[in-house]
Amino acid sequence: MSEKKITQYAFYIDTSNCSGCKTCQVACKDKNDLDVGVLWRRVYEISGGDWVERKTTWQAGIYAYHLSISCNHCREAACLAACPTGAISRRDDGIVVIDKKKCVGCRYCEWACPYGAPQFDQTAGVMTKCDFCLDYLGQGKTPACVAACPLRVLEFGELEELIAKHGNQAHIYPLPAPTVTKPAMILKPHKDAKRAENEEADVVNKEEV
Amino acid sequence: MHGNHWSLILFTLLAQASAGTMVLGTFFRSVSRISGRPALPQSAFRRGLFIAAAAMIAAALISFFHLGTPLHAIYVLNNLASSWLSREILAVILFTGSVCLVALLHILGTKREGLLHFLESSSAILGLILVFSMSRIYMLPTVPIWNHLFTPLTFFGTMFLIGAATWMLIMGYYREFAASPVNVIGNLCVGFGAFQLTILVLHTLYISGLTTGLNESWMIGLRFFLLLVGTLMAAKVDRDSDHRLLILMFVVFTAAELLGRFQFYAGYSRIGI
Repeated sequence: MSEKKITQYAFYIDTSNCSGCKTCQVACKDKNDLDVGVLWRRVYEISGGDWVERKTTWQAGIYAYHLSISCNHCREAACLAACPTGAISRRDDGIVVIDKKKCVGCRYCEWACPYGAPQFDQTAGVMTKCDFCLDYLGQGKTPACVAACPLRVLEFGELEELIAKHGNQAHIYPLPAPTVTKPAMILKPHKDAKRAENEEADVVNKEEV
Repeated sequence: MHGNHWSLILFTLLAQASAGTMVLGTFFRSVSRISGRPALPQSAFRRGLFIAAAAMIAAALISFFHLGTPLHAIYVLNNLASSWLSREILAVILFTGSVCLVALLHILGTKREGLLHFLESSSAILGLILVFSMSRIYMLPTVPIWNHLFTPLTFFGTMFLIGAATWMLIMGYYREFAASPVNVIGNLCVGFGAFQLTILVLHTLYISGLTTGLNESWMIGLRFFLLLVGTLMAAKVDRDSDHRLLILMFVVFTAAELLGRFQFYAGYSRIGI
């Protein structure tokens, strides 16, 4: 990561190698002491296909891949525009944060965000979401999810630098089109992502996210 | 649909009923001012006004139940620049205040007709702005089933239908009033009932083409039945109709709109993940 001031923090996700182990999800919950039902990082499993009978044998035609998504700190954040109290704001480094002291818990941002990032904390009565481990960044440390990933499929840094290194793909099925909110996130698609999109494959672990 | 949607169902219905009552009452008063013939007895208008004020106060109080941290409500006007929710809350405050002010002036027996006319008209306009801003909240790009012209059409339809039904109920107490606009109000109920029926059919065709959202056909059928019954009742009522019939018509229309609003919130489904 370069020394110069970061203007837009972003995540990179290599979905071609994500095993869906959820270590990132657990690390985030542990570090932020999140309540049951609140997930700042969510790991989705997208699966489709079927067993195909060929004469006397059956061939596996099933495919699956995983998508680890937190908040994408969008450059046109729908949550920020929707929030009536101004509790959601964007910092100079591009990180979108929620001020719990202002949030009224109306959950309008939950409707507005296409990534499921704002999560209602029933106990606190306010919305919460990934804050890019601001405290860790301030100490020169790595966000908990990125540090925890055993397969090293998560990276973070300046959006432009990540794009120069990995390309600028920001969409994979079933994510919405990046034109909706311009997420500060890029990814490497899994080899079966196009097939999943064509076949409108299901998210098969909805109860986990 | 999460549990706090019941407070939103009641809030939106009561607010729209209040706005409809105020808009139509002010319309009748304005027509009588222009024509020189009384359209509503003063006491009838006051009843409508007090109903509108009470409904709006109830709506505002009920809306607090959908908030996770109501004490932070002091900040809800902080994002008028981009948030339709902020703008709607401003409209709620202004409309509620305006209707209550008009009600207070009537209680105090103010004779200043010019001032009353101005405030009544302002309240009616604020009511229209309130329903418009309410509908814009739901027109989010991420919720396709709400992000359509059907949302404001349905909301305004509810406003006018319940408002007209409320006036029909009130005028049932004024049979002796020679210039009673009961027939006119009855025709309005027929018109708005037919409008809501048409919107229901067209909207059902639209959402049947979407792959997202709740689409319980029995609820749609029941709402269609209630709207049809209410509209047919409205076509039959006149100034001599039994008051119980007017009450039943009001209940049928309100039940239809309550069901429709429940379906609206239950149909929530967001794009993406």
